[in-house]
Amino acid sequence: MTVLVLGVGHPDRGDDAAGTLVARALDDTPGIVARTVSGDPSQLLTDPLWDTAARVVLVDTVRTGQPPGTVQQWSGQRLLEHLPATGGGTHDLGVATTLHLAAALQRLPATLTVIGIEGIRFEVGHPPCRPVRHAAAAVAAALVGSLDGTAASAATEVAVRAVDLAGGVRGPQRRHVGLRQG
Amino acid sequence: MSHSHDRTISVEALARVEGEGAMHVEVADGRVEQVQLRIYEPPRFFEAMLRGRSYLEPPDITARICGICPVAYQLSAINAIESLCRVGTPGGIALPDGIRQLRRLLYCGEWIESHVLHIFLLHAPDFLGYQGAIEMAADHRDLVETALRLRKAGNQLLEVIGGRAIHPINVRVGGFHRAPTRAELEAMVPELQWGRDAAIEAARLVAGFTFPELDQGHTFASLRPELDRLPPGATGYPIEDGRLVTTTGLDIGIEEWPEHFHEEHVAHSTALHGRMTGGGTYLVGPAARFNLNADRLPAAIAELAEEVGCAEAVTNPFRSIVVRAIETAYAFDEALRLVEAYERPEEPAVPVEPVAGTGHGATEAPRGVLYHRYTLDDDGLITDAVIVPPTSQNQPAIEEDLLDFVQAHLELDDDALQWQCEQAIRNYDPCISCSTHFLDLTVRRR
Repeated sequence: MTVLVLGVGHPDRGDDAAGTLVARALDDTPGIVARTVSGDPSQLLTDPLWDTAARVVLVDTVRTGQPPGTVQQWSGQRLLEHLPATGGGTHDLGVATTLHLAAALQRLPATLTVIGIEGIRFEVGHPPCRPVRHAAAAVAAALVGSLDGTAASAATEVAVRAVDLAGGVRGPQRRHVGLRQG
Repeated sequence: MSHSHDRTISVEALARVEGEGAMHVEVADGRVEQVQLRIYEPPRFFEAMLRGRSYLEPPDITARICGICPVAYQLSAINAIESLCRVGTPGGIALPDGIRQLRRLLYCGEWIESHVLHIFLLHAPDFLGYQGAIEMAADHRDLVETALRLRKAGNQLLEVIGGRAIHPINVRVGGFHRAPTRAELEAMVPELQWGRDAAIEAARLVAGFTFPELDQGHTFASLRPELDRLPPGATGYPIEDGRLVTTTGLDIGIEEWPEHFHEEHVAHSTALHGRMTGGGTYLVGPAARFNLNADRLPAAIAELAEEVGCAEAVTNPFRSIVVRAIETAYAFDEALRLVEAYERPEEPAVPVEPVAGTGHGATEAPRGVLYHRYTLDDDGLITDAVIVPPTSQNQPAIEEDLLDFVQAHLELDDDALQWQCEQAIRNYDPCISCSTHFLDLTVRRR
């Protein structure tokens, strides 16, 4: 039973990286296929796992007026009722359009969960702010923790990895930090 | 609704175009007095940002101007800098065939991605009577699914060659950071073959749409490659290189651009307006490319063009969707040819040393000719930069089209007129973000 985690965002635009941090932290996690995506429908709706995964989780940065780092969760169907059907320009149709398009094509996954991490800074070249980094770590850990039979240490490991990724910690150093936590 | 002789129609925000702008039409005594594309998106000052930067940086900096045609910005910048630094010029540093093949192949991916998005998801709803792609998807599921798969094929080319689909990171002055292997390219062949067939069917489909009458006598301008400069496997339709030609007989090297074209400020737009020297308007883009280079299409694509009603020059801008579909089929066809002929270069790039002076470069972005000019000092730092995107060049002609179109369709009520005006603007797939480096519609009938 595979869980497809789609981390939406841009790695170099401040808090917009939240979804990508979650996806990258979940790399190589058994039971999870994690991808970093732009949100464009040609990327999401052509993913072979979109229609076949036991569960699809889409993680993106949101702006709802909550404090940065606030994590919110919706079912895909429920979210659609509140998302405008149009938006963006010709260059990037975006997640909202993608979800509405999926619904129109009768391909909205039954178990689609959308997780929003509140962002506040989106400047090019800036790292995500600390509350967003910690929220990404918590989301990654919670996703691992939701898998059947997963040890708590595995959840801790991906949480640490998410924070390290945001801080630019490279692979070997990341493992060291992970061992300390273990 | 109004049928009075005096009226004003305003569209506050045009849908399915990139960027922010408005359109304003004023009608008095049954005559259209004024049509303005009011681009209010703030200027982005990329040209000023480039001053003082290294000659190696424009491909990465200017790629950020546009999310859908970054390759156009990268390769126009590279053409300008390399022409100045004597790369690929007679007696200069030779560019390996593989690098030139990869550049054209990368550009095919961008054409596919951009054209498919516009044909299926932005423009087709106009002709099929839907507000947008989402509404269309419920009734035309196969069409939308095909579009998504075609677009993915274009993205795949960008990812394999450019490193990622949006703002590729593998492109540099002198070549690439890494040249993909032949096996990496050949892995895409089955999807490219499917894409070529699907694009041919798409051309047949869109050719069956009903097109409003509008026959314009615009001057068209496009690149036209020199056949002896094409990389192995390539055919001669313009993409990443060429001389600049027009339907009025102009045939110039890109370095002669400033003598024949200029940009000017207009009060109602934050984007500059492109004009020919002497003040004439002109059009760049798919129709211009097709009208000036149809003889360069390979036989199978030329036959397709004839089959879908494009045996002659295409002067009705509403038929641009058909030309885009033909060009999409061509891009798949050309990509297959380039993959077959690909020879991986021994080194992914050639060394390029700066030369003081001014260099000019142009390529065919999906929306038309994109011109770059850079002046370098002795240290290779940029002292001046000029970027002329297709939408800036097309704006005056779009306004002319709209004026004629509104004048000929004043019998329509405001809602119908607004709908068709927006459709007319989308004929050009305008990119306002590029042009400001658009749309609200206001029609005022007095």
